[in-house]
Amino acid sequence: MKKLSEMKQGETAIVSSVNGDARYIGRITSIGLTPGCKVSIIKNEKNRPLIVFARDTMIALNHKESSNIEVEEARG
Amino acid sequence: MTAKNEIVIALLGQPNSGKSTLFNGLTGLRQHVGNWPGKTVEKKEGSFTHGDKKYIVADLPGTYSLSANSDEEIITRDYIASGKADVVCILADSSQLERSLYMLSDFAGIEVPCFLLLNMSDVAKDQGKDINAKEMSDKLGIPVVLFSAPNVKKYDAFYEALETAVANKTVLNTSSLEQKYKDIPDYSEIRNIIGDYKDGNRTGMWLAIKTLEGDLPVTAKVKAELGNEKTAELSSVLDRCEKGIVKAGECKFAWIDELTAGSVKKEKKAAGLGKFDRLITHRIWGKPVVVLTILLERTDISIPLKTAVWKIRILDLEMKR
Repeated sequence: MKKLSEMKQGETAIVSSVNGDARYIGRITSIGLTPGCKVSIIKNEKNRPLIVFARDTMIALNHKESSNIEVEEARG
Repeated sequence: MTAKNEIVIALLGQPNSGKSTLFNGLTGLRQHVGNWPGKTVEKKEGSFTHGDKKYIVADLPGTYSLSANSDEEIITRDYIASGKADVVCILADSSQLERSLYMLSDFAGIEVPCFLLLNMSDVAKDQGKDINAKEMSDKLGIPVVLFSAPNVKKYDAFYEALETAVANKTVLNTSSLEQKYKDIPDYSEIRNIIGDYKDGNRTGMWLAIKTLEGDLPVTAKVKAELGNEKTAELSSVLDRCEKGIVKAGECKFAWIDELTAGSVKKEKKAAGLGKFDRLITHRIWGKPVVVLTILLERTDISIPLKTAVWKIRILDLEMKR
């Protein structure tokens, strides 16, 4: 189990859980990052927004907040 | 329906799904902009005539879902619950299809005639996406239209879907979604406690899933309606269930995946950032470029000149890289 914010550019992961307050969980759910969702990391630089591709959409996430998303590493 | 026999259409969609472009395309200059009562959220209404009927269009605030996290979301869902709209036009962005269909899944369970507009279908086509609207329409039980809002000359498909939705009162088919909800034990319990209760056009299914999601206004409303005994039962279910919204979200996206699985064909293309995206997300150049764009916006330089300056700037920056 890893945090989404620890994944490197070019890697792929499957979301396993989302933590945080109700509002954050609600928002993350409504943009599609639910458990089981495949996420490709497009860009991950320190202290910069994390850019991921999931459910047909390019999404920019706050770097700190994305440590609330736990993922399982995946191939391809 | 208004007192003057006008048909009211509400435009529902996530931010950037093209609601305003469609709104402008339909109503032209026949618009009225104000505020929603007591809120600093813009209220846009307009009208148009098609065939021998007059239509009123309400451009609802763009929201990601129909939960109650912000003024915009509350206004949007209260408007739909009020029954003022005769028909709801739900917009989704075909170029980001799975994610933007979340609004449709969140709407499911509200019994108002509706139809689905898959906007930006031209962009989706360029992405190599082939969407079978007919098949989706059969699964959903409502008209589904491939659409491009800026192309005002090709609004015929929109009008046709609108007329079908109004004439046949097409309501979204939610049976396969509810089947998925029922796999969540807490949902089934809540659904049983709610029983036959309906709140206007909001079905027991919609109320139950929102209650599971921890939606406070809906939960309060449901509790007020049920007797003391059932309220206590409901509270005990809610006390032990955690992250209902995530479980509900999983069901909604599973339903969306099923919906698009057979009906959308995609060429395998690796997702990546375009030239411009790379520039504005660049560690060093990103911020200056954005600031520059905003500064140029504020100057009186005419637009063609601005574009030219822009292009030179981009070239310049790319060479420096």
